[in-house]
Amino acid sequence: MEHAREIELIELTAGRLDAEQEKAILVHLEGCPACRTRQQDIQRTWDLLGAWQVQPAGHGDVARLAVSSGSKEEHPVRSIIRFPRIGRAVRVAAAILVAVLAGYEGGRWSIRPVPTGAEMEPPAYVSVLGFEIGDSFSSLVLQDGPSSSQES
Amino acid sequence: MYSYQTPSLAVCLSLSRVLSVGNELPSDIELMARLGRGDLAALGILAERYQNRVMSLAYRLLGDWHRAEDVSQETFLRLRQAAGQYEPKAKFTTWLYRIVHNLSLDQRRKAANDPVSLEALEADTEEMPQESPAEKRELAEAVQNAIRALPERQRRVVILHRYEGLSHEEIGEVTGWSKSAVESLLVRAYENLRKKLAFYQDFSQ
Repeated sequence: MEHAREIELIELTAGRLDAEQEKAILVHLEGCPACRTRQQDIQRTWDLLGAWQVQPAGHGDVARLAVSSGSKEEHPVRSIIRFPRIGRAVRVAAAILVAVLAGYEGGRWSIRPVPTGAEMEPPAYVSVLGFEIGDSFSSLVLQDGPSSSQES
Repeated sequence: MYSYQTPSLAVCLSLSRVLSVGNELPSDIELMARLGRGDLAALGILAERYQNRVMSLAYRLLGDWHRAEDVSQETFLRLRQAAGQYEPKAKFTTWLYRIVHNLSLDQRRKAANDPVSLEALEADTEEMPQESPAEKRELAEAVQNAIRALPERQRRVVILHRYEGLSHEEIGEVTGWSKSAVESLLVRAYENLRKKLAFYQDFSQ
């Protein structure tokens, strides 16, 4: 006599055999104590597993959230989060841009503007010679720097 | 883009309740077709219909309610995104379970890369109501621990089989494994559980 397969006994316990299969197995079990014992073991395990009940009802209204998230177009930030590499690249690009702008602004204020002819204080020897400084002449005038005048 | 953004929350859910009372309940496939045409009330009905099953499966696979909620929300979001291309080749619930299963697997992989998170995930046991007798609570914990101690593939098939009532073919569709592989895993899983719960066998009698 061929014994019942383990998977058949599991399905019999689960109540998922079709009527014909179920009848055949039950007939076999009546005449086979070994298979009956195996089926009883499976039945006990099956019943024990029923002790693990979960209660999803108290854990957030997923239906409401599903509709609320479904009612909006996908948020751009969310899509960046989904593609972390793109998000990282955007952050790096933004950091570079900020650094360049900061450097540019800092550079603008660190360079002293060169005085034009009209803004220049004429050295004493120019007036002694009877010249007047205009824009065209200013580039030719030798300026006394503050350090050289202090030395003299 | 959508002109009905703000009122959709409450309106869709209440509308879904109104529509499902007094009329014949729309099938899942009809609801998916409506959702594909942008009818968010259909999503409300589907979410109400399946949220408990989706949450339970995600929780049993992950062992953590917060992650189970994330997976459930993401599942319904995917449902909405896929509704336009949905073709009812398989049973709707099998298709839905496949989404939950795959998202839960992703969550577990993420948790595996984060040891702290994995530790928390493994430690979270379902709280039984306080009125449950101590013995019953102990048994429920023992069952959870026994299932968690199973090898990953056995754990997944036994959850889908015992708690979600899926057939071998359906488990195969959800997991992507062959029917014979599923049957072999089930036999080993129930055998392992029988050994692990041997101490409690008297409880079931």
